[in-house]
Amino acid sequence: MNDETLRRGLSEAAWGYFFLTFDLTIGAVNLLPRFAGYLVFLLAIRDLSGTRRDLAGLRPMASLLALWEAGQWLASWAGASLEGHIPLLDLVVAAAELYFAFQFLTDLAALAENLQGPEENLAGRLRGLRTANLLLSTACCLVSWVPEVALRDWAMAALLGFSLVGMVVAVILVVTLFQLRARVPDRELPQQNI
Amino acid sequence: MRDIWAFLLQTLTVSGAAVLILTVKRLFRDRLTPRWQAAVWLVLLIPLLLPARWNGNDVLFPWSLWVESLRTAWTGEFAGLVPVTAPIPLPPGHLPKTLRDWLFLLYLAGVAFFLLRDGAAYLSLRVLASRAEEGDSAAVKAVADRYGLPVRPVRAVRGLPSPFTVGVLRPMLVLPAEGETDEKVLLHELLHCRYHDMVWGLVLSVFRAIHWCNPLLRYCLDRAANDVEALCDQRVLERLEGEERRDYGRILLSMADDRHARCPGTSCIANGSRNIRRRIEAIVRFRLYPAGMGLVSVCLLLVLAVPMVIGVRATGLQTGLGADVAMASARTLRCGTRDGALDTYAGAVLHRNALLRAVCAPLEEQDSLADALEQSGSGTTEGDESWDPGIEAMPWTGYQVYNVEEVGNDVFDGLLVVQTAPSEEEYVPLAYQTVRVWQETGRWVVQARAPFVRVNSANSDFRTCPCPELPALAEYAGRFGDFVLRVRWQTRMVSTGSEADWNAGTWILHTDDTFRTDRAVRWQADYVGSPDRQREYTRLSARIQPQWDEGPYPDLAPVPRTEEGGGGGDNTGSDWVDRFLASDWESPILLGEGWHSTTREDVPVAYLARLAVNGDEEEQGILERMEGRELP
Repeated sequence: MNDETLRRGLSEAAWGYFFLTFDLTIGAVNLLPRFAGYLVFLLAIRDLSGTRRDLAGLRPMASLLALWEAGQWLASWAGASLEGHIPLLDLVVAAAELYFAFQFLTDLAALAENLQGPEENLAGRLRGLRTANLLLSTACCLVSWVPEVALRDWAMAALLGFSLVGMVVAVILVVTLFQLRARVPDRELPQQNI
Repeated sequence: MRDIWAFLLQTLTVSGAAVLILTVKRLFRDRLTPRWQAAVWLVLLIPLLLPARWNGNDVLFPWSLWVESLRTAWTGEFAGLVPVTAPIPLPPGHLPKTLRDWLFLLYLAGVAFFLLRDGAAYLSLRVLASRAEEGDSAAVKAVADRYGLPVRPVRAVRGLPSPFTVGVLRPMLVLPAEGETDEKVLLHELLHCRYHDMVWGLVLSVFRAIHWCNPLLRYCLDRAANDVEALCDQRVLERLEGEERRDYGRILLSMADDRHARCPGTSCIANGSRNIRRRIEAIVRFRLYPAGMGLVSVCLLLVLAVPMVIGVRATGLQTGLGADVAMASARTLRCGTRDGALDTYAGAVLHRNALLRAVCAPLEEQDSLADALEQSGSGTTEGDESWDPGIEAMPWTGYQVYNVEEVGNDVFDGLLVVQTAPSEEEYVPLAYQTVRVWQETGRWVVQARAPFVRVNSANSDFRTCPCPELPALAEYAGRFGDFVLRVRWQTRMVSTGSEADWNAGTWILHTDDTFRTDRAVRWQADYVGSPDRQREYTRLSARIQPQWDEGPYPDLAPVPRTEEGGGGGDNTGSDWVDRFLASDWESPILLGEGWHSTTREDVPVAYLARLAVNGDEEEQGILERMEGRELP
């Protein structure tokens, strides 16, 4: 693994979160589709798995999520949605999303341990963001499964609040990953050492 | 479960959850530890322990729709819903008469057989263990002391292929009498005791008997038992070091061909070659599972468990598959709130729709609605024009619900008001019907209490103007000299839903804010004095204010008086008027009327009023609620 691959992998991870977080919808078409985020994550996994072995195990899950989000994106062209038709599938996807995000950030935090400067705590920040992201996603998921509650004003406000905080978390995450990329040293990293 | 339909609904509901768990276990097979792989079966315990549709919702799939459709297709009955009162079989309470009764009896016999068989197997092992000679207690004590585990009684049995633990409350280790048992095997069995794994064996065995004719669930319950063994392996590995771990794997491999029989209340380290292969795979992955996954493991369990408790509420009618399925979907598509039921009933009246009517109809009316649907030939359509509500309403003018009042515990009466024909020049033709709303087996239902009554409203638009021609919810009156002040109180509820809600089928999810509630107050002064004195009155000054509690009542503020007269009110419901009367005034004198938004549906207990004539001093009095009483 060389520095260039590592830098590229971290950039791809940051851009992946960018695609997952932001929507730019014109008409019925989202120009920043979430499936593109997972495709970029797949590239990041390819580039970073040499340094962090656990990442390779996330490839099937990222592929599954990319496929689901691509289907979702195509359905949105027709004003439809894949969600809500087969609750079992919704739950499997929700579980995969939760796990993927947590594991991916855990691995990136482990990478950061080796890259950050002596006075920095990028790894700790990544782990904090990972935990916040997981708790927010879980809360949103649980509220959305309680229709009577989800329709209440306070629940709508809570969901909106979760989404806003989630967006702030994602923005900090993207910035942190770009900061991490800037810490990649100009030297060869040993393979499979973490 | 008192009949075969209830069992079918229960076992299908659990099966859906089982498919989910098998899917996520497959997804996370290499990613999460045996601890999570075993804990995820707790999610299956939820539908196993909760009666299907305990809160009116299905779990993951619309099982009740399918079971109800099957029941209707078999029995021809539309009334009633399959009740699952308990997740365990109960005696049917009557002698078998039909094939369905005999099938349920056969099922009960199967449950009894499996429970007795497992119970007998447990007892025989327990007796075998208690009659056996004492085993190598010193070796067991040494292992227990080394790993900080409680010591258990040990028995030695000749010819035993592999050791096992038996007993739920007072477990004991049963070891082969021949040879010495490896201390890692003893550790495995002591850990079973430490974590009370035999209780799980018992629980799984009971559910295996209850769902004996469901191969998917039997497979899942076996998998759950094997995952408990794998979890125990992990606990062993966490306590061993380096070469000892490899030795433990070799021991398991050596047991791959040992005979085993599953028995409740026991645990056996050897549980069949296929299961041992799985456990060895898990042991190989022991160091490869990503670390630090505790929090996400808990979150995943939560995300999977909550939908098992809450279920999914059906949100649409199944049309296009015939009348049986359509009616079954209407029955199971319950209205969750009073307002949702009223909204659905109004939709049924406006669109003359038997399916919508079935959604909010008491179960006893389902058969006649099914007949109406079949006769109209609308079994495969949306159901419009398939039911005669007794009135031809105009759908595009909507509806209003007047005078909703709680008449019992969660029982409400009200008036459904619709327009019946285009407005004439002088009036709007309306019709109203008294309806009652209450809860029946978790569904809010509406029943018509009387046929529609036609009235003509002088107001040009019944949706915006009060209609005094419609009945009042309460009337108040009080005498002040030659005048009687009367107040007429109506409430109306106006739907805040849109046609889009209807099309999306979300009306049944409407919460209490489906409607906006308004109150209409019309107040007037009736002259009851001598005709000779009528023309002496040239000016009326009055104020009214609703009282929500019994007295003592406060003093009302005086009526503001000016040279031109005037009127006004505030959001407490207080209205006042100061009016100069024309020389030819007639009784009654309308003092005010109009809609005001309100947040309360109850009615005042009385009205306070002040009245003065010809600018004299005001007199304060009470307007009592009449309710058919004569004015004192």
